[in-house]
Amino acid sequence: MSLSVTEKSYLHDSLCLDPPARPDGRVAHQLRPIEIFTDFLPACNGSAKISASDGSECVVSVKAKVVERALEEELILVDVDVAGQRDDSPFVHSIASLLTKVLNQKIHQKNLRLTQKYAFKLFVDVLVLSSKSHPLSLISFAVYSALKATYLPKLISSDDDLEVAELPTFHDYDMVKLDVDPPLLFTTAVIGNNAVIDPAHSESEVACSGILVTWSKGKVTAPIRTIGLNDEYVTGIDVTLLEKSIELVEKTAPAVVKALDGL
Amino acid sequence: MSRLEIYSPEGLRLDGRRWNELRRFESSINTHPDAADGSSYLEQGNNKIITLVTGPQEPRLRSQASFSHASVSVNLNITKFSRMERSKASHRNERRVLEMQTALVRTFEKNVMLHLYPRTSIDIQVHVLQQDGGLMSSLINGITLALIDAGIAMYDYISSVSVGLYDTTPLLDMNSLEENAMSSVTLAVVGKSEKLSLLLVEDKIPLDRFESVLAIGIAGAHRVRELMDKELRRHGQKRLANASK
Amino acid sequence: MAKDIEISVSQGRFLIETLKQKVRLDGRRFDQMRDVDIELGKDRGDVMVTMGKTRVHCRISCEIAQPYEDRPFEGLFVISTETSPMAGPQFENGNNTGEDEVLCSRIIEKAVRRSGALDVEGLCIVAGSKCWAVRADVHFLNCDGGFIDASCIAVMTGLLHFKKPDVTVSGERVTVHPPEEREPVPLGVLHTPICVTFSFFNPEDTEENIKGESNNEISLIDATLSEELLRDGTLTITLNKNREVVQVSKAGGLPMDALTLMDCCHKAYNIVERLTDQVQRVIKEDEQTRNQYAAILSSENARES
Repeated sequence: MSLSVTEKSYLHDSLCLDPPARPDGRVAHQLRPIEIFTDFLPACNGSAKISASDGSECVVSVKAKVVERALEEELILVDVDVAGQRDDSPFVHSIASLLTKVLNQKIHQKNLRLTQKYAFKLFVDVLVLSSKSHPLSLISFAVYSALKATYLPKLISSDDDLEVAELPTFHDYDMVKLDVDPPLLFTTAVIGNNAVIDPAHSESEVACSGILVTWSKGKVTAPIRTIGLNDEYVTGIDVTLLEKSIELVEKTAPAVVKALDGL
Repeated sequence: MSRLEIYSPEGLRLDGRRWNELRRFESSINTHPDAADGSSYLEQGNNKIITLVTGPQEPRLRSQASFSHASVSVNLNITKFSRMERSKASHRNERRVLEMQTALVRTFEKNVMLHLYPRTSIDIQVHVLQQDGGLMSSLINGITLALIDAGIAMYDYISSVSVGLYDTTPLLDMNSLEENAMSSVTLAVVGKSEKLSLLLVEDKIPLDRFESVLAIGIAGAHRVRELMDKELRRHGQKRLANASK
Repeated sequence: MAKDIEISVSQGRFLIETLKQKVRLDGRRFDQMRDVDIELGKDRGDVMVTMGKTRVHCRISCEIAQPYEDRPFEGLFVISTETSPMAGPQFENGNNTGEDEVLCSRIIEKAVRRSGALDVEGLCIVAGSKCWAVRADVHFLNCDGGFIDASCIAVMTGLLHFKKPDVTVSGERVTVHPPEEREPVPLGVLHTPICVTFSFFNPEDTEENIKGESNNEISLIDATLSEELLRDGTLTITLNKNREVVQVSKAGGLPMDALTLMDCCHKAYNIVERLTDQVQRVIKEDEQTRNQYAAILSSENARES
């Protein structure tokens, strides 16, 4: 779906107003409605399916594997598959590496530690079934819900196995809930002198630039960076807009976290 | 080879079914109305499959267009997490997947009224979220539902089921444990007829038992057709009720 | 098989019309296979199969390799079926991801390798570290339909004909004996799967095929290239002499009545029986010509019984 020049100019002008008039009537810090299901894949340790009102949809699966701690650098691996995009396309690759990096930074390794020698490695597989706008924020919500709904087998062997050549053994059916606090990623679109959160497809089309803001443990943290929302407009942005974006996220994020935790 | 008892002397299978019972079959259509023209979500036992159909639409490449009929393409995405054990490599370019894609295209090419949609392409995307045996049959059922949802003209339903042969007993609709332990037959039936659109046999089956296996399979596929039909009618009524409000 | 070559409309109509009158262009009956000519080369495992104008060459070779980690007691067996423009202009060089190429190689793979025609456990030399890797290279020399059938015969004849060098194992030390030193040993072939391909044509309209009761669809055995280009559906049945269905592949195409398909299976069995005998006869004759001096050189005395 591409927009005509007139449509674009109308959108651009209305989004530049103060306060911005968004095509779907939202206020600047308002997200679109989303629907999330968790725990629908019994073959995975955790799973979530999220769908946005514009038909964007994303499925996340979390699978755990026991690994030797000394051999693994990163205990969380994110793999992204976007329908219609090649696996090796820079777009897919950048999302996967960004998520892997952010999750490994924000989730402490000790949460995944099993014994002195072994740990769980989490494989987070993301499948984007369809995306109209930039899927990063949607993916991060799904990953958040999936990790929150992840259950891992309960350890029954001893913790001190450094000297013993023995693999950890688990309870037959008891599971332990994974206790992590994953970060959330928000995208904002910068248009003129305004910033709006969670840009829809039409808004992304006329956005001058996009900003990615990370929210973890109750505050805005790094990485904060620009992302390209469309191919045409990528301009430099004013520092004040960065502040505006952060303010937007600070306004919205607590409510999002509360809603996601309430699942 | 395995310690599991595939078929107990009492006539029960691993998951407690009898030999001629299907697995839980739950389907819904129009699950992704904004993402595609037709969509379905199918749970056949532990198989979970999302199918999206877009089209008839203008082909991406002019050269793909045929002036006499629509072209069908199937893109099968077996996710890395679909099995119990996560696979490291992507399944996308495996020969097995390419073969399945080709088989699916050829199955539906003969059943969709392609001549009604010249110069267009019908693109089918299938995402396998979880698999547990009889994948091919679930794919066919999922695509049938999604094509119907997309409103694409078809001659009839194509319903599919897998059958195994354990010693001398045919077992209908196998799960993956059963599939690994014995030979399997996948067949796809057109409508209420006994015409087979697809027939795949893997591993040895005595020629003289083959006929009884086919007979069970056809009966099973007809049952699947009824289940799909029921869901479609339920969905149709729901829509009608919404429309008349 | 082909994608880029097309048959002209009038030629196509003519062919369908003759089929409706139960005549094939080469004068065969509908359920008649072309005569199969199997030629064995000087080396062991060197086979040329000719069916009409279709020619397929298969070469079996072996080398010592490391077995897969998860299957330490099994040897390796690879079938490589690569098409090249040598067979016909429709094949691209180095591109084996076309629909037909994939189907063809998968069917041969299923028929021969996955059905356990070759005893891979017999290829093991030292468990976990050394085994024989047997390789079947199938070359398509000329294409006039029936690739799958011809290559299956070629691979199976090759496996029956081939002999691998004898080895002796003492501890971790493996000695490979050259053929001059010790007689090479044959491979363990457990059964001989043979493929028979049927091509289906629909002489009437599609509605009749799907809704009708008449079952007038035409089924041909062993189609030539021009028949393959026009067919609406195909079925490949792989059977062995023990009345076992090894593999069946009807990947879509024209819907066919289940009873017709059963009938095809029975027809195929007769052909398979005949072809298996032919393969065995060829192997036996070759064995005799190779060993024609065996009786003279033997120190065995004629025994009176």
